[in-house]
Amino acid sequence: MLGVFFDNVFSAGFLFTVLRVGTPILFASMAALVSTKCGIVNITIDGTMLMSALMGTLISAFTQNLILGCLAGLATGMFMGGFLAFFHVKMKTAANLTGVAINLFTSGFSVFLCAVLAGDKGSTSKLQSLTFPNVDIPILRDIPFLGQVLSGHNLLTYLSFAVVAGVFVLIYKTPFGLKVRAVGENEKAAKSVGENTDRIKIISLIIAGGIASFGGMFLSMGYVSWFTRNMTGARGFIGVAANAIGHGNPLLVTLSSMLFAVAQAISNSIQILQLPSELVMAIPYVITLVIMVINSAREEIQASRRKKKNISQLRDASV
Amino acid sequence: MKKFTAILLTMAMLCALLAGCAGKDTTATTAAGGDSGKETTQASASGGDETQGQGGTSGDLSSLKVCAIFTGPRGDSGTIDMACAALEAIAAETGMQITLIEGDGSADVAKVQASVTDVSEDGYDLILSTGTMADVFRIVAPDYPDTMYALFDTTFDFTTYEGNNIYCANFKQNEGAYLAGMLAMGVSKSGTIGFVGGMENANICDFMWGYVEGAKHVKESGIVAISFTGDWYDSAKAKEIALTQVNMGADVLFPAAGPSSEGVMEGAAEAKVNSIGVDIDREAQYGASNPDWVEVILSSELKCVDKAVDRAVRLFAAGELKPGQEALGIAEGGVDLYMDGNYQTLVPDEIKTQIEAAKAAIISGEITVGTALGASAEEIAQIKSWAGATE
Repeated sequence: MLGVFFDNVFSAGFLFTVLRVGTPILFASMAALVSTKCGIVNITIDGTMLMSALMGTLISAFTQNLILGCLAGLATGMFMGGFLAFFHVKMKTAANLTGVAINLFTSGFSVFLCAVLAGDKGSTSKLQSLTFPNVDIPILRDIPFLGQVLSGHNLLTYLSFAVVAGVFVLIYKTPFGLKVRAVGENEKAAKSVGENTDRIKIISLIIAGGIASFGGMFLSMGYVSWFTRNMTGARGFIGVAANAIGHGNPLLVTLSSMLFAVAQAISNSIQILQLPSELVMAIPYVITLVIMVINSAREEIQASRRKKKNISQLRDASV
Repeated sequence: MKKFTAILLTMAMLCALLAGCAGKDTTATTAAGGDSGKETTQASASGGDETQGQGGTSGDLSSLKVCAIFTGPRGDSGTIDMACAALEAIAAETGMQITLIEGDGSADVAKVQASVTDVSEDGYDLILSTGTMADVFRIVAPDYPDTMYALFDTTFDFTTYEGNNIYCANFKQNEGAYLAGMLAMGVSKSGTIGFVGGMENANICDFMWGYVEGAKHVKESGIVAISFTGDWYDSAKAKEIALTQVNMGADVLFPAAGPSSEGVMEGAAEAKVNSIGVDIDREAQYGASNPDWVEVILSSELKCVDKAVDRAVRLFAAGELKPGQEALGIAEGGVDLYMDGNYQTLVPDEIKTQIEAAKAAIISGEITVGTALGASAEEIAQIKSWAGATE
């Protein structure tokens, strides 16, 4: 059995699985990244994914048009982002509390919509909904190992990596990104130079919602071809954690998302070793906790070093 | 004084408001589900032409008031759906008054207990539910000795129960799963088959146990890969696990993972391996929407909750429903393996004969299938390691 397990883990198929498992987490973490860059801890990503997963499936089933389904999911995600922005930015509610409320709301409301529109409270599997296609990349697919890992993924998996690049450019290479970072680092300072910080926050949250929506649609229109209630399985929260670990650096966030994907994929295949399943299923979450602790400890050490250095510099200067 | 009057007025208004809410729909406000809790009441529609129950029962079904209260919502394509459908069928036939109360799937015992108490106060003749309600019934039922409580799809420890008004039916899913295991291993070419469970509870382990025993009965050296999703709703994860098992060589998959079982059905179809459905005839269920899933379904393990509910209600009407535990196996028609459709075309005759023989042996008592109900954690661990062993 151990042999079967290792054969499975050390194969191109496993890496392929990691990319597939990682896709929704990557979308979620990029949404979290954009939100944190403007200084908002956005935990509504999970609920946003759920709503987009549902709306994308429903509209694609009703119109039999993938583009319309995709647009509906995207619009839902952006609306959810705007929803949070309205309460947090305009009505001045606490972002985390609003987030909890929105998540609880979506988990119930999605079932309600599903029951009303699809006639089933459990899932939409009875509907003929559409999925995003899998893409075989010519040339690449013929390269032995690489082709097996990188080719044949769902369209949205490729999009997720494009989104990483897009987010990087948006945040670091555009004037808007500069403003977003300014608001995130010191809102008062940004305000003092005449920036409309509310507007920037609202736009950022809407963008984050749009990114998260693809994570949701990947679940219901790529991974599987229907919507199940609460199907996100806390992937939105894992995305938030991945962003925290990656410190808002798009590359590091991508890596930490993939780390979670590896943990998930291993926990799926390690079960065959007859380890207690409760223990195995806790692996991804235990890894989250451990990394968060290591991370914060490291930051603390760095901060104290910096402080010491500053003090010694001051001392030197005064001398 | 002014302030006092204001407070008094506000209180009066609040009372009126609350009373107004309650007046509209008493039980709806206390339904187990809170936000998604919902109640449907179907009153007698048949009027004069009341038909008697089938099977020679002499009780008057039309005058019965039956309530079904669940911790989860409908739409599970399983126990709750089947129980509701059975009650609705009887109501349509006889005009029996039924009330269906769904929950939101949370295991909030305090909330659920309040709902059950409320329902008990409403003077129903029979209140029925599924396994998740067992502990609540244990607490509430003794206070209402005139009401009969029925639990389906679970075992109930009657030794510590004070009252005499709980009927509990469990399904020998291990027997059905035994046949499913035989079928899976019989059809498998690689000698490795997969089992994807939901949460690792007694019922799901019971499925696993029977499945492993059945598979080993056909081929002692065969391997059963066992995984759990730890979730009833994460169908993406269920699919991922199914594909992982296929990667490891499994070529027949059997899910027992609630709504997320659909992930396994799709995973099997995508990986071009066979699947076996759970609880209901899945070929019929997916026939219209997912023809590619149906192509690879060998059969479905049937858990006839609908029949059991129907039988219990009719027995109750006839005054013949006895409190206590009842186990419904293959012999009692509680579980079975679906033997039409793909089973006839995809399964070799030799395996069909084997399965028929095993079924007869289980009915006659020659084969006793082990059960996880009441088994210790060590025993379950033993079954798991046996499942992975090649000899």
